[in-house]
Amino acid sequence: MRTTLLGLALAAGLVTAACGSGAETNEPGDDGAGSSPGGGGDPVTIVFESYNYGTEGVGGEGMQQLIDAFEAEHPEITIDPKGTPTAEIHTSVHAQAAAGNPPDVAQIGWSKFGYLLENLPYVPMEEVAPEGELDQHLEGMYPAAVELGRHDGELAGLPFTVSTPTLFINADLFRAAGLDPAEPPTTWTQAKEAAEAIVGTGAQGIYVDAAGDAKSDFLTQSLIDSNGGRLLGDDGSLQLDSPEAVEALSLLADLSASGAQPRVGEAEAVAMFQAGQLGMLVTSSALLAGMATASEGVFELETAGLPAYDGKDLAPTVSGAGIFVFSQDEEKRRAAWEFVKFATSERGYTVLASTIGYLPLRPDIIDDPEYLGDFFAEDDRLLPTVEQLESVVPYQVLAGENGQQALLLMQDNAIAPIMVSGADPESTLRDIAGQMRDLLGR
Amino acid sequence: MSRPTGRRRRTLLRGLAHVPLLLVAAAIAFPVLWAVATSVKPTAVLYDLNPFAATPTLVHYRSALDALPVVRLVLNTAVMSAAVALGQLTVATLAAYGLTQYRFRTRRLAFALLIGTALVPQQALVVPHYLLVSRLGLLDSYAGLVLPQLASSALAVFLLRQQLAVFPAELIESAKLAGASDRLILLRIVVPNLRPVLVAVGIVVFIQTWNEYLWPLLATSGTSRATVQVGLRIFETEQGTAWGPLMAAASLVAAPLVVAYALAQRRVTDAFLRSGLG
Repeated sequence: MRTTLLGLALAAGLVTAACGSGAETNEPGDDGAGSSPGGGGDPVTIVFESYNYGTEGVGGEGMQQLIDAFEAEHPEITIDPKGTPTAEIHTSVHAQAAAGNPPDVAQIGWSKFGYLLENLPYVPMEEVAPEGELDQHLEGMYPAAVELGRHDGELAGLPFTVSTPTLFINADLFRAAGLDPAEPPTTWTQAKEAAEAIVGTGAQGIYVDAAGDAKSDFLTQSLIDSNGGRLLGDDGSLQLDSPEAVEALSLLADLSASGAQPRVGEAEAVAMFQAGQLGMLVTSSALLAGMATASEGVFELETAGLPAYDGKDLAPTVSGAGIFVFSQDEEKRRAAWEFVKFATSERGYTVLASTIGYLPLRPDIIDDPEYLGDFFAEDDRLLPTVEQLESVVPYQVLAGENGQQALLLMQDNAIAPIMVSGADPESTLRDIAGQMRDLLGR
Repeated sequence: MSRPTGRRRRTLLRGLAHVPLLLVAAAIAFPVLWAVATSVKPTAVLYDLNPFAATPTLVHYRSALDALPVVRLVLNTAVMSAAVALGQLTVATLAAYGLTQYRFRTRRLAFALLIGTALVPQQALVVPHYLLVSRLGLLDSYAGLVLPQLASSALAVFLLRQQLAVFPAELIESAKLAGASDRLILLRIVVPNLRPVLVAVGIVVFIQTWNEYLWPLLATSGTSRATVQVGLRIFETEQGTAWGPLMAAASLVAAPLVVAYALAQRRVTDAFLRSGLG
């Protein structure tokens, strides 16, 4: 019997080996669709994996427009787009990279940046861009935005679909509560007062979308930063239980305890707001275009910047994604650079801002009639968050193998309980910070 | 005189006994009914708690059908689920037979290892699976969708092995004495007698596979081989979820399973009852 088992194992090994070598010899033919490595100017096809592509609504349409505009300008380059949901895109790139065939370009969220640095075979922009082109391209971009993609002095990717926290306002409920929607609250104290006035009308007051799944941690960070704290200290140590952070996040507990904030989850709050039953919603500005569509015929939608803590400067961070290059082949890498350059150019940000509502990361295009001048003249609801870009601080990455797990622990076991189930901010944050330090090994 | 009163009381009691059942049934059916109700609500009143807030509309079904090749997705999912169910049953029957009928030294170890594979989370296996399927050149094909899922049949093997362990040994012994080969014993004696279990396990695997999300997402690109779970995700975007079309699409893709169940309800319950898996 043992010999039979041994034989089986050997046979299995041989089959695997045979398949492996077979695939290697086949590979050039496999991915040769449309591309012909060779002299410049030949048609090249590059794969672009995106979490907006292919989705229903403004996200999918906007990404399609960006691709169409690029292909019209670069007839020699074809984009082969692939849509993968945001939560799975890094796993997808990882699997494809392991199989030796990563997408050429991918859109990956900042909350996965730590994972990307450790696990994904990105090609730094300095290697992707031809000599001298990178500095020239970065000119005119918000410096804080560029810093997002930098790690150890190297530019891993460029800021692509970026958004900051926004205060969405139901102007009808504001008026019903005797408030002026043209004078939105600028501090948390004012926001709480306004929320309480709205609650008085029978509707719900305010919801701060900090306790959602992993991607809401940009709001957690925005709150801590705006109260003078930092999630990570200069030496990389976790500061989640610092007095500034505890004070900042006590705001969430206070809003819920006072009844100004409903004790519900992220999806319910968004649904509540879209149904016209919630006065204010603090969340990513990426929701603007979708919100504008959903609120049509239901209520009048207005926006404002993130409220500040009394006497403190606003220091929001960003959510969204960077654009990263993974091409192994030089020809494709050149094409990938052209696409990345276009996607983060004046024209690229114009398409992304006007269709989806991502931030135009080049300040000059906002008033320029050739780009977003007319768009903002017609609808200025994206403007408050654009103005916030001046005070943006870099998103901090929980790097390392367990970074993602630590982040989930923070969101699910600290922020959500503090906000939704009345957990004590100080002891909860101390507890969870301890567990996170164990996970992060520092 | 007392007899009719007694009968009436019995009927009343029997009726009362159904009340908790009806309540539980309503609680289970509620989300499904709510999803269907949401799918016919106009967008403006989508979040209204009154399901009859406005005249029902089919507009979300139209957008769902425009956005998704629903028939294609259902077909792909059905092919994948049926192939995985059949494949797992085949693998599991052979494995269970081997584990119960052959005496070899590593039998216990083999069984323990097999059960151990059920403890490995699927996410951990995704990259090796992708690597294998990609090397075999099977990405974006039915074979690629099905193949790695055949390996995750620990549950099926376990259930069938438990059944075979208590299978009357005399039947197999006498067949062996009569000179029947293993293949003959399997096909003529074991499989026909295990039919209720096989059907029950097949149904469990089919439904599990129908709901599979991560692997079909990675193994396919575009909609030619995508499954319903992957397709439905296009309504969940960074800019929020399009609940109307999502519920419409979900109702559409769930319909074939519901119809199949309604048609085969008696057989399905029967299979579970007779196999003891219910």
